[in-house]
Amino acid sequence: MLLPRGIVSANLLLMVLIVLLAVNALISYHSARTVIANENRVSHTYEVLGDIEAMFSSVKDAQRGARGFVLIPQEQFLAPFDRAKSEYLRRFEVLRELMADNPRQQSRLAAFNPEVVEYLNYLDREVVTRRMHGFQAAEALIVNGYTTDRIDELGKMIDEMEGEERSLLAYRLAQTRRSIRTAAINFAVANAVAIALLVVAFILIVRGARHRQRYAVELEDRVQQRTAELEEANTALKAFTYSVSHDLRAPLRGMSGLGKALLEDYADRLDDMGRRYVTGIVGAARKMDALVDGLLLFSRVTRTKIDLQPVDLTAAVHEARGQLAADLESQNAHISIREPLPWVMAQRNVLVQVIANLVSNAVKFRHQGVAPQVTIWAEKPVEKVRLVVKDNGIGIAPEHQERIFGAFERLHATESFEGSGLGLAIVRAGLERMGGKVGVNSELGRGSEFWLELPMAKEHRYAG
Amino acid sequence: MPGKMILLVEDDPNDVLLLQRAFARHQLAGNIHAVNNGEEAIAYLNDARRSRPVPGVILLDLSLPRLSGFEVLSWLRQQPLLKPLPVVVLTSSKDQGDVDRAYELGANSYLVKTSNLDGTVDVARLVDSYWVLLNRKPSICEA
Repeated sequence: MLLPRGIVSANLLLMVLIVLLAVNALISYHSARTVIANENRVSHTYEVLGDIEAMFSSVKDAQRGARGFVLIPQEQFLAPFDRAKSEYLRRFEVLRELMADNPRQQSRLAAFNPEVVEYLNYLDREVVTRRMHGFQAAEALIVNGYTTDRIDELGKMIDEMEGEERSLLAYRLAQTRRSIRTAAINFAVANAVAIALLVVAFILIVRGARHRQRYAVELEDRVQQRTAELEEANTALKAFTYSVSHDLRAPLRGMSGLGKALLEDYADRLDDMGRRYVTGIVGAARKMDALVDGLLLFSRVTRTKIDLQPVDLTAAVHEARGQLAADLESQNAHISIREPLPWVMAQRNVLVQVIANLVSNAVKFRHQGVAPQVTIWAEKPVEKVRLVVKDNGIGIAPEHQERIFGAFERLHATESFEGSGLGLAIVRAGLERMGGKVGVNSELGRGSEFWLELPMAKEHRYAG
Repeated sequence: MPGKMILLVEDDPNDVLLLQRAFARHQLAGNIHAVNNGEEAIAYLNDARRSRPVPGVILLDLSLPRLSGFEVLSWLRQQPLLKPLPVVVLTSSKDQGDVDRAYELGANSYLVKTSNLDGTVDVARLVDSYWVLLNRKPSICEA
């Protein structure tokens, strides 16, 4: 069988497509993760920036709180100062954690903190001085104490830290943009390739289907051609058998008829030898006629259209016996049938022919001088019917029991038992055509049991 | 004698001989005129009434050279004057298709040749007693 090449490559392509889609999914997942990670880093940087700002603000708030107390020394004005101090400590701790991944910023923070702590202590001192020694002393401390340079110094340090974070932010934003672009390109390329492969696979499959369709049409053509050839051969065979049945038999009829006429009309002018010769001619013609009959029957059984129908075995056996009536009477044969017989699936005329051949054999091959006794009964293995034809004849040696079913097989000289040698071949061919079987159990000198098996007719199960 | 003439259409000379023997030996009433093929049969029937006696029955074989028995039969049934003539098919074919076709084409009887002499004599006797003697003929046979 020829497999369209398109189908093979389409299958391969679909496999590649599946792999590609899997890779695509993996890359997409990875890209998405990168984008998310970059986004997280960006927001981290924003957070750090906010915290740096807030930390510096808390220092400025502390300064404003302390100076406020110096101006108006009421204890409730100290609350913002204390809040700003603890706010600074909190922000510092948060920043230390946030900057854990960046040693440069950490060292900046480490340098920044003591400065602030010192400045906060100085502010504390301002508050204490105001409370203990009054405004003048506090004012003197402010004027002579921390210069604005030192505050500016802190601001510069904050600027540095912020600058670092801002450049980090710029870098990370760029990275995020890049990772988004990469992911988008990955998506686009992978999907474009997948769609392209899909289109190619589709085209290949469609082409393969067309190819198969053409192939199916071709096959159908071939089957039709073969059928036509077979029909022709069958017609030729039919014409042949028709011709055999007419043209081949006409001369035989002439031989036997004219021979008999010679014997009757010229009896007084023929001596014993002459009569024997003519009798020989007539007998030979009759045998030839029987052979042609057998051949026609054999060809009809092997050629006839078989249409299995439920058939009543009882009726079939009776019909077969009826066909042989003259023969049975002349042989003084006794046939006993154990009725009722079941129904089987068969073709009626073929079945009758088969049974007639078996009964005819059962009667024919008898012991000299013994009246033939034939018993017919049915057995019923599962789903099948076995019809047995038992005789009291001469029996068959075991080594011959298979051979007898072949065409033109004869065990006996034509002088002792006349026949075409086709009787059992017709039985076997007929049964095989009807999906049945035939066989024999026999012992030399003790008679034979021929049996045939056919499917039981479903709607007529054996009641007996 | 009008109506006692039998037209035997048969190509096998042995069959012709044996049938003629049976009629002669058993002193049957029928008077056989034999033709060898379908063309001769049609030629005879065309001449009948003018120069030859019209047969009381036609014994027709089916497998004949030139024109088959079926062709002779269907020709006959289309002849305005001759179409009522009784036709007995006498052939070696037991084929049911042949039997059906012969009746469809208007055969009056279908007999199968036997291979033994006694059978041939039986056929001759029966044809003679039934178709020649007992059977009433259409008026054309008396002409």
